[in-house]
Amino acid sequence: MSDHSSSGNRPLIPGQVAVWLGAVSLLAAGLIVTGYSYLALRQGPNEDAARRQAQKELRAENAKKAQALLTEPARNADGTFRIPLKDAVALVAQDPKVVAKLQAAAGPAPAPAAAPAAPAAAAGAFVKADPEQMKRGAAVYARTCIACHQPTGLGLPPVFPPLANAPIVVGNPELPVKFILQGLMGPITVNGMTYNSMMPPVAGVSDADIADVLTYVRQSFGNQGNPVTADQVKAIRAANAGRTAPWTTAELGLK
Amino acid sequence: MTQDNRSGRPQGRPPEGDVRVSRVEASLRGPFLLFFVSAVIWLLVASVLGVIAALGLGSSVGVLRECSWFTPGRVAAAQQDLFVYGWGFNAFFALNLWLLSQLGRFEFRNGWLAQLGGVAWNLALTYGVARVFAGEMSGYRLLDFPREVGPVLAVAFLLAGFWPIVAFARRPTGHTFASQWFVVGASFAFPLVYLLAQLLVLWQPASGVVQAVAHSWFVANLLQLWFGASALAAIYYFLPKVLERTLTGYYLAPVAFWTFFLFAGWTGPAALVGSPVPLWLQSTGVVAAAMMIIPAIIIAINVHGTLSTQGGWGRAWNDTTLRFVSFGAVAFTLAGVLGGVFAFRAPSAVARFTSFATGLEQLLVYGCATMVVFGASYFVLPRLTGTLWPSAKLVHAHFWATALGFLLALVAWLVGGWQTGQLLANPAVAYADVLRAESSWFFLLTVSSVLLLVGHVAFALNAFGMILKAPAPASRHD
Repeated sequence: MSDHSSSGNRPLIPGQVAVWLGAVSLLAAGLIVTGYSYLALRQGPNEDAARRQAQKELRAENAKKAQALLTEPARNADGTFRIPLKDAVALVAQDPKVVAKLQAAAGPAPAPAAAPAAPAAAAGAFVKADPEQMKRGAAVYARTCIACHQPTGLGLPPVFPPLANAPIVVGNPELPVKFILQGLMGPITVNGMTYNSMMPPVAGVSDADIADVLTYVRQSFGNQGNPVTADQVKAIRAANAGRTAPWTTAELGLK
Repeated sequence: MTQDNRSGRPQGRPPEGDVRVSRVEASLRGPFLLFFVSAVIWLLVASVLGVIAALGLGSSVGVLRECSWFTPGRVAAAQQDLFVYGWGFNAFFALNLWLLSQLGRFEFRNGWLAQLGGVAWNLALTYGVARVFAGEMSGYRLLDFPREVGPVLAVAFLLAGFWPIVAFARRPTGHTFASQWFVVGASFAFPLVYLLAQLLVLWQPASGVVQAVAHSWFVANLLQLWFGASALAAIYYFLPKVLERTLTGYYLAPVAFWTFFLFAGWTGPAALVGSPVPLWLQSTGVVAAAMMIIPAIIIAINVHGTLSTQGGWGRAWNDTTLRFVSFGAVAFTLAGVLGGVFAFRAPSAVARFTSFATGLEQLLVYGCATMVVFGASYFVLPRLTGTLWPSAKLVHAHFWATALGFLLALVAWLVGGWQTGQLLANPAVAYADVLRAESSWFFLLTVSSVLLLVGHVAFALNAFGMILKAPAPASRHD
């Protein structure tokens, strides 16, 4: 029946076991190659720390640039600055020569003559939002933003960044509008903490909705930012009409 | 001993009056019976747990609710683990070893090594299931066991499940048969997939969604490459063997083998359609699942073509082994076709998050693999023990209870799952109503689990009665 019947000297390792060992070694070789390449490709904890360190340095480098961007006023599609009419009236009423002063301060900014720019005055002219607009904004917030940024506006560290006391939120509304329209991909640093996830673009919100919710966010959770108008949102939407890809902080000069 | 085929008497038996067992089979007796008996015991435990889980879902049995060990989440997980790792693996350890020893004229001289592996496997499994009952699960389906169980199971697999490869390597002739390809493929694929999944999911977890991708990859490989391939090996063996004819279009079988092993490993991400994994990965899974139609069709040509000539279906129906095996073959074809069709995005959008996926899985694991193992044991056990099955009535009870029980459950999973999916997609229907509609199917599942338990008890009674009354292995030492 069998052609492997044992005869003569028995080997140290019987033939069947030798074949078994061979098959196991083959499998182990396959496993080691695959497993090692996985572990080599996978980012270990040390590399993670190194990456974090590099990120920190980059963040320090970009801090000034980011600050400059945040204090810059909103712009129209053609590059001119815009501030709410009420603010402009208030500024001019306060100091009739404000336009000339600002023109001198803004310096290289393109076509600043069309409207008075805000940077110097932003701190001085806080405008309380219309309570109706706040109410509408709260409603939009409750159905759109609340899942990630939470009812408290504190977000969910380390996944979702806070809106409370976040400079980006109260600064130039252009950035938040862009994030709402096209989303934000990749790392962003808020109050010293780096969040590396994705904010999806928010579909189905009108310009008025965005203006309302931003106004709400800019004047809630301890934030003190001026209201945003639907016209501002409309201009930013028009300026980025062709864009579908999410924004990245690298592209916007933040880190 | 002279009953005709219609009596339900198993046909696979030694020649009249000869209780001697061939040397190949005598050498397999120890390991085979260890694997087989532990498989049947685990099957019984899993069936009882299945009834408990079904009762827990369908109605409120207060007594069980009181005990945290019997909360539905733990019972269902333990049931699935025991069915897959206890029954499925032990049964195919036995069957694959027997198949390749037969095909390779392999006299197994190191049975104790395989038995050691079997004991280690069952001990590790017992420990793992105890931890699952204690609530210490990993949370990944079919990788529920705490991670220290993984390496033990892998080593036990190498000891218990690698001997078919040895039998293949030491076959006397160069000629090979389809069954051998599938068993060798399955025996190599499982430990590799299992250890890599352990590494990627539990030991050195990949970040974020990659973990989910690795897990879905593991589940697809486990179901297709272990259960599917092992069952196919048995189908390819028993069909021509019992019918005593060649397979229709057998020249296509190599294509079936290679396409099966090529595409099965890629089907995992098809289960992730709609989740936050890259779109190309989901599409790859969908394409692979659709390509699985190719091996399914070729195997259908091989198997159903053979059954359809010269009254093959009638003979299969009247032969105990073939009745189960051809049930499994039909289930495999159905699983391949349904799996391909429902992997596409539109149907998948309706069927996901419902019991539909369970139905497709069970079509492969129970409808195909388990039924094939039942059929095979009706063929193998009489040869190995040198006796006949004690009761034909129990054989009938076994077939009808398992076949009906499985079909009932299949209808509940597939139809109920599809209905649930459509209700979920309809915003006008309240979620409570969806749940109410879904729970109406639980009655069917409860009936089915009881039927399956009855069938398995009948099978176990018959098998254990047979093993106990078997004469001592006469030809082993002469």
